[in-house]
Amino acid sequence: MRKKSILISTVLTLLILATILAGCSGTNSVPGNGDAKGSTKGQDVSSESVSLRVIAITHAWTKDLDEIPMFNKLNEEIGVNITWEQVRSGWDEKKNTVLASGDVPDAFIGWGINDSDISTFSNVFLPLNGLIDSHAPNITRMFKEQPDTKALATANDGNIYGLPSIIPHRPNSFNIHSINGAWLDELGLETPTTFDEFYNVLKAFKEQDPNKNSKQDEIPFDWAPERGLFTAMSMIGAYGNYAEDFSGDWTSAKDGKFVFLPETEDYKKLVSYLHKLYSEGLINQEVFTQDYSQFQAKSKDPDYQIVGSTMGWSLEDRFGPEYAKDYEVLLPLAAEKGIDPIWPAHPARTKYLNNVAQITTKNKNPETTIKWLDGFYTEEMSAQGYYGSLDLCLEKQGDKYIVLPPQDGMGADEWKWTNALVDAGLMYVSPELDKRIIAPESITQRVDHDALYEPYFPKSADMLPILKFSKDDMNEISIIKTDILKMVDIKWAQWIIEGNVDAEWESYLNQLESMGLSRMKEIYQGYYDKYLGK
Amino acid sequence: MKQRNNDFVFSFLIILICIIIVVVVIYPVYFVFIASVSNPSSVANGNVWLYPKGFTLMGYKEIMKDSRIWVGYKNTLIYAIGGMLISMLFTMPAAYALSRKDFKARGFLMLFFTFTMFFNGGLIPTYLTVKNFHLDNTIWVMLIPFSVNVYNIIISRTFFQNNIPGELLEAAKLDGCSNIQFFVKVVLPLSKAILAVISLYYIVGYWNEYFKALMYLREDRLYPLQMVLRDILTRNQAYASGQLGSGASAEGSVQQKADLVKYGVIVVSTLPIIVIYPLIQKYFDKGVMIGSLKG
Amino acid sequence: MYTHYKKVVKHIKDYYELYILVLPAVIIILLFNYIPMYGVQIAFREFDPSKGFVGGEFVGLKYFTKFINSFQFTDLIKNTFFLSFYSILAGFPVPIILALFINQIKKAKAKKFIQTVSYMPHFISVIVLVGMLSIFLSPSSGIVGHVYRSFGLDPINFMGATKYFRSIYVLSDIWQHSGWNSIIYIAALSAIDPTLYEAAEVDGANRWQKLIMIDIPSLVPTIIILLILNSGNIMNIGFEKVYLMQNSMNLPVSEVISTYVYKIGIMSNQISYASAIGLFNTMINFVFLVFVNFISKKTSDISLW
Repeated sequence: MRKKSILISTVLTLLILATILAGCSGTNSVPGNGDAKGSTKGQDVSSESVSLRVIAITHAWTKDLDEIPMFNKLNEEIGVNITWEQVRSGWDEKKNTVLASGDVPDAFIGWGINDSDISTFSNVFLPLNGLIDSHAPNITRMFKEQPDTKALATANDGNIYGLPSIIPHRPNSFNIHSINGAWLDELGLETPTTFDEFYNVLKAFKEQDPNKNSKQDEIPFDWAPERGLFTAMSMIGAYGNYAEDFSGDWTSAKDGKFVFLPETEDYKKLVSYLHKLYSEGLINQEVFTQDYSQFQAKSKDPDYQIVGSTMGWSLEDRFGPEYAKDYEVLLPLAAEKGIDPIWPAHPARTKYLNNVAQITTKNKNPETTIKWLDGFYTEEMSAQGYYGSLDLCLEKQGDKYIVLPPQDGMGADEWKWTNALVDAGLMYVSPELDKRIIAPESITQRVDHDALYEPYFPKSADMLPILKFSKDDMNEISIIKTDILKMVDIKWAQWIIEGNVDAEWESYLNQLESMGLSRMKEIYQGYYDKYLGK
Repeated sequence: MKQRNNDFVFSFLIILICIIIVVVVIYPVYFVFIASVSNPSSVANGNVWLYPKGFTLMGYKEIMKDSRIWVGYKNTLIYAIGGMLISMLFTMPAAYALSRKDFKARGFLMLFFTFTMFFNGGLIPTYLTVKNFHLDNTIWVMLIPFSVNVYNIIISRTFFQNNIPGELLEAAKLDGCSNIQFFVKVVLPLSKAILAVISLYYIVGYWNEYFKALMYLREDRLYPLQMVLRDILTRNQAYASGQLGSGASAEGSVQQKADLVKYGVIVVSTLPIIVIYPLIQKYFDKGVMIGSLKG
Repeated sequence: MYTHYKKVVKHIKDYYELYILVLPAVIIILLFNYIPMYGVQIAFREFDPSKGFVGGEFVGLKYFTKFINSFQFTDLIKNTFFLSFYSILAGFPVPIILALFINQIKKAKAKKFIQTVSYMPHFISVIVLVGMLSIFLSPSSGIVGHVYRSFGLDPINFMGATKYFRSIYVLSDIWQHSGWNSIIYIAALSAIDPTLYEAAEVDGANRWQKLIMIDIPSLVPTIIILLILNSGNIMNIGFEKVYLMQNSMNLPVSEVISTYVYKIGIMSNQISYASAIGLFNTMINFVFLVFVNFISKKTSDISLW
């Protein structure tokens, strides 16, 4: 009997030891050799090539980077052997661990690292200024021709840690206010230009059954749930003073002063106006509780057109290819006749990307790495960077680049995201190059629509730039902002639904004050002044 | 007579509750199935109720066309079955030892285990520890370091405490049975119900494991199903919250696919696991102990 | 001292097998749960990656004080606690009742069917669950809206009402997880000695009485242990579901500790601060658990340690 017990206990102990040892022996594969998605695939690995490990945070659609011809070609030219680790989802959860554990790669590419990461983990990222000056002619060219990009890339301490990009065919404004032209025609209405006219049109949409289904199911006006790019806040310019800066924080600037929109008189007036619309059922009653799927689904209901006017990226995005032709771009409304309305725009946010690549302090070959990164910024690589590799997605004809139609049954969007880094990519598409890349119809249409808004854009001086905060200031602001924006969100919804903004305005401002609004403004203004060179 | 009336009312109540359960529970589950094959706008607009509308298999096609799915399934099977066996091997003996009131280390060990349910060093130190054992990016990280779930130990211990009569142990000792022999020959056969439950808990836990894979694995060939599905889901969700800053142009169809895939993913990832329960359900039948006691 | 030492040695000699049984679990927990615990320090230090993970300057209770003095502190504690308490209070009995009734089903096939059906919702992901809630509860297009209108009433926007948020959260949790949570009780019921039923039959008990006199008492140990364990979750509200359910209208009650930490983390990497908040949260949980465990030990002799 005893022998058996000893036997069992020995077996158990051995088992545990074995499993621990299996781990300790380090025989398991370290990424990048053999079965890892071929770092040598399609490449001629010269004996002198430098090996780099790169983490790429890409869109979930983007295919394995070692299967993208333009990258393989670049790698070969420069003489680097890249081991890619591609993260398509869950990066946010993983990021801090990667950065804090010291388990960092030689470089990061894509949309994974932001200014705050760089400030917090200052020991991880290499300053690139010297390297760029000595080894990166294309990036230097970009900085010279578009100095804004250099400012965007320069951190609070004067160093450059992350590279920026300029992407092609972008509008200046994220948002388009659209209206159902077919319904206007149907009901014999003029396109509204003021708040009062808009009100009347919405009322007609609601009461006169323009979708002809004998049901009062029309939603005259709808916008995206949650604070962001596609909300009614874009209409604050109707009073002729401010426009949001698309930061999602309701910040802005005017005449050198930092502005926090939710404490302005114009905001109060806008909320009152929206309340009037809401109370008469002219706004989607679920505008604050729907989720984004529902928001997008309402405007594409396969049975009937439901939405009269709304906010969004483009007509096609909001209404789908079937209905898009019935809708048109609505020019900015004026609160009253005689005011010149402003429409929000922020080219630095729409056309530039920040922090698309970083080199880490673990990198033993920074010169080669910067040369490699610089290779993405040549004219040819930049043209391919957004739409995909030559001969597959892009065709060169003379000095023009034609975007080829998608294959494999994909839509143009999916095709582009599969074959290129797109909004996560490194490239420099100068305004001049921009004209020579011939984009598909839907993209040019979007840029054309944007041009309609151009006369209404704020002065560039009134667009609050992307400011570079120190780590401590960033920490302080983030806490104040979290508190303030929560209150702002609550009140924005509450006042639009129930009204009563005038009565509560004073105490609301006091509340904001007690949360640290003055301190936040002080910090912002300080950095803004510095930016303006004061 | 009154007896039978009471029983009748009782049976009636049972049936009523069953019907309520079935309707309330099954409807939304059924909804997931039909939503996974319906036109997404119709679904989001509340037009899909009892049958699919605008039937489409686009969601499933989208999921299946990612070749990594099959590797994912394979890996998940390995992690789930292997992990469950290892976990059971570590958990059940410990739970039994802790259930013995005459085991002096019991109190201390319970505190030792329970403490970890609350206090842990945090993600990063745990990651560093796993890394120091060279377990990261191997299949072992999915099987060993997190194989012991204290909650399961506690539940199993409770079961052993209440269902293994003291007399059995005494009788066995008189026969010269050692502790381990008692555990293997007497306790385990009597504990089929708890073994079934805990293995179910573990298998489902491993099957659904996403976070550990995200943190500790770096290569496609090791990824479990949940990682692949999450990529697929994300692929189609990019526009789901009007992503700040990306503002990428989106064709109408993209959002459509997003929603379809969302439902389809559930079906694909849970169908296999749901069919497991009916198989082990027999261990939960009444009177499972009966034979053993008399023997 | 010597006799004490001898006692210990004797105990280990007699019980060495039990020590062996428990050894693997102890090793795993020791290696992968206790070793990393040095990381708890980060809540008391200024995170400075250049000095190693826990090498930063010691700042004591700085971040705890920061949290306690923060603007939203009271709201966060209140919202987290109420949501959690309500969840436990309402959610705890349902799996028990469900198990008791399922156990009464005589036809084996029906029993199997009901059991399987009841736990299926457990596997629906949070994203889909909240998506479905939005669809079903939409006053304009959801089922609930239609039901209201058919009674001639104006539908309520449930997802936007602060007074319904907690109920929706809790009820959907109950719907989703009761079936799964009842499994352990069903297992416990299956272990009941059938002779007890036979004896009760002889005494003239009807089904209802059998349930009360036999079934319920047999579940008591399991119930108590699970109750103790659950009380250790008193301040744990997971982030994902609440975050998905949040909107501008229900924010006053839907902002909980985990969502707050997340929002700060979007704009800044305040690792020390987040860690301190987490530890604070954990302390409350642990104190509660110890308290409930103590009460349970005194009143029912069932406890964790």
